[in-house]
Amino acid sequence: MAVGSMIRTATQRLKGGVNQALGALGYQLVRTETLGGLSGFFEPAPPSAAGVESRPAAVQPRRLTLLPAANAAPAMCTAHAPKFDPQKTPSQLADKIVEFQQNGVTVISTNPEKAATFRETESFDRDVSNRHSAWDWAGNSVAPYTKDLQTGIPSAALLDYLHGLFSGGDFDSFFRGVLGCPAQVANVRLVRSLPHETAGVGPQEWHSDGCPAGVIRGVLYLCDVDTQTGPFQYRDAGGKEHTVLGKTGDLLVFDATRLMHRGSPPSHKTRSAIDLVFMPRMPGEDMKIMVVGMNHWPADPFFVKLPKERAADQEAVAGRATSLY
Amino acid sequence: MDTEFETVLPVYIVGDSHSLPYKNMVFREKWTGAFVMAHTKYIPGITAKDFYNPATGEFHPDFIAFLEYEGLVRNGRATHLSMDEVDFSIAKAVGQAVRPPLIMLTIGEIDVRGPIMQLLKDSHDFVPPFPTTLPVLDKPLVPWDLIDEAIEARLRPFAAGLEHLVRAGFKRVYVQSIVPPSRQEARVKELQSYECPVTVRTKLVQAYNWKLGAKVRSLNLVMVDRWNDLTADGLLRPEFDFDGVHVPPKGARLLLEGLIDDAIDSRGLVANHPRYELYYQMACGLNPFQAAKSNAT
Repeated sequence: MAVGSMIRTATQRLKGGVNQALGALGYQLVRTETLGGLSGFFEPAPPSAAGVESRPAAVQPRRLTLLPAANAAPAMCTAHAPKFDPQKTPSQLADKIVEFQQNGVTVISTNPEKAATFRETESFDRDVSNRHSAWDWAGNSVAPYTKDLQTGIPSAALLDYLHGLFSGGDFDSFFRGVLGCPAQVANVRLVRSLPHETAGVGPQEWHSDGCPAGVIRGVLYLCDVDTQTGPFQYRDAGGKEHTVLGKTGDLLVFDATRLMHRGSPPSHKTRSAIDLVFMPRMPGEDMKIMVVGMNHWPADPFFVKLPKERAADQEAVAGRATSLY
Repeated sequence: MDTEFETVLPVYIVGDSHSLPYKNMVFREKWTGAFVMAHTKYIPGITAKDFYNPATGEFHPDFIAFLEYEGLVRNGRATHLSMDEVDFSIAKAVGQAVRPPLIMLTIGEIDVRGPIMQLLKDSHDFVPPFPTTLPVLDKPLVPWDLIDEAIEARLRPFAAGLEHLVRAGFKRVYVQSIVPPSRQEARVKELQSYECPVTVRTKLVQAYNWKLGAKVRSLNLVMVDRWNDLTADGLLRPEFDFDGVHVPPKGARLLLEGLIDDAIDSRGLVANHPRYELYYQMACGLNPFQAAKSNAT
């Protein structure tokens, strides 16, 4: 006991002496456990599930490696839609839902007179340069990638028509069937494809869109589309090529990631159509129709801010930086 | 009243002292009119060789510390691709779109100025395997193979680190090319304690950039290069000859604009697929965090 007491006393004296010396230099001895407690007090803990309040946490050594993480499009964009049963969920477009679920594509007839009218009244007066470039939107390049396509900004009348069409009961049940949730329109883009003999570029090449989960595409024909008008083509799961001819007012809805596809280059006639991007909508939210020019979809569906349009700046486009190497 | 607010586009610039001219830099870019703001971290003495250790898979501690401080990494994971409920809550509190960050590394100049240039000093020159307007001096030539090997030894671990970054989900990483060296011979001698003619030094930087660019491109990343704007007659323009090592902030801005010019047209990479998966599940009435909770209990 006496020896133990002497050691404790000596330890206390030693600590006192060292502390006194360090104190003169502005330092202090602190036990490891005490330091851990203090660090935990000042270090914010990971946020709780409900919010981001902090709580004391133990200090952990810094991890210097990074774990792998993927940012890849899903193999199909409608994975959370339950298998549709027309008996359980009656719908005017039940056969179209079944067809979409089986093949990844379906064609729905809409009002041909309206479509023909929009073909004449809408202005396809722009090249395909991206004048709505925004850091929070995935989209095409600033400079136009082809002269074979023209685009334009849809009129208020067209947007009203589409809002009414896609808000209606038939389409509401259609989207709930194919997506498993309500939909909204992430973009409406006028597209006029001019006849040409050269190979197609951009959407006229075979491609998969790499759409995010829940995002599907639509094409509303504003004219009759035959083999000379550049019909939509896709390859099924077995690689077999299909050509979708159509009438004015036909709406193709397809999973642009599941299916390799293209709008084939028109050989003799001009094709006028409306490109549509559908994305999920939270239950209880109102249907929205967004117009974002040559963009595709928002970077983050939780925070969507509409990009502003800017005037065409040919000088800026022409003055791109070049590389020595 | 619903007030529209504007946020900046952050570009995270980290590396050796060539990150310093970006400090507090803010400007409006010409494509969308957004404010670009540089978030910088100067890591004293960092080289391409010690940026990453391929044997352990570990990055320089200060680099990881910077990513953590900026909220880009948490527990070794890229936060922008996280489907963790904690990161979801943090993003919700921030209230802005979560997109892959733009990062630029300024690393490699010390490697050129140090071990590689010592092969040449004032006594030797070399002939690179690419065309250059710079002359070959009347000095003994060091074979390209030796220069190539010396550069390769410094670049190999750096490229491995870039590859690791890409695997971790950082696909919008840019690497600043080494800037053209100063023409101030006296200042260079003062810094390096040996002489090396400006044409040889410049050619060496070209050689390093030539190899760096190829490695960076092979990873689908981009080297930011404004060589033509920074040089005249093959050498650094006097208006960018600053302190004998760095370009001044106006030169750095040119480089940052080069990054922006590329990034605006590579927005195919901005879609955040994990966030879409969460959104889609929620829209379908599912609870994406339920499975994780069930697994935890």
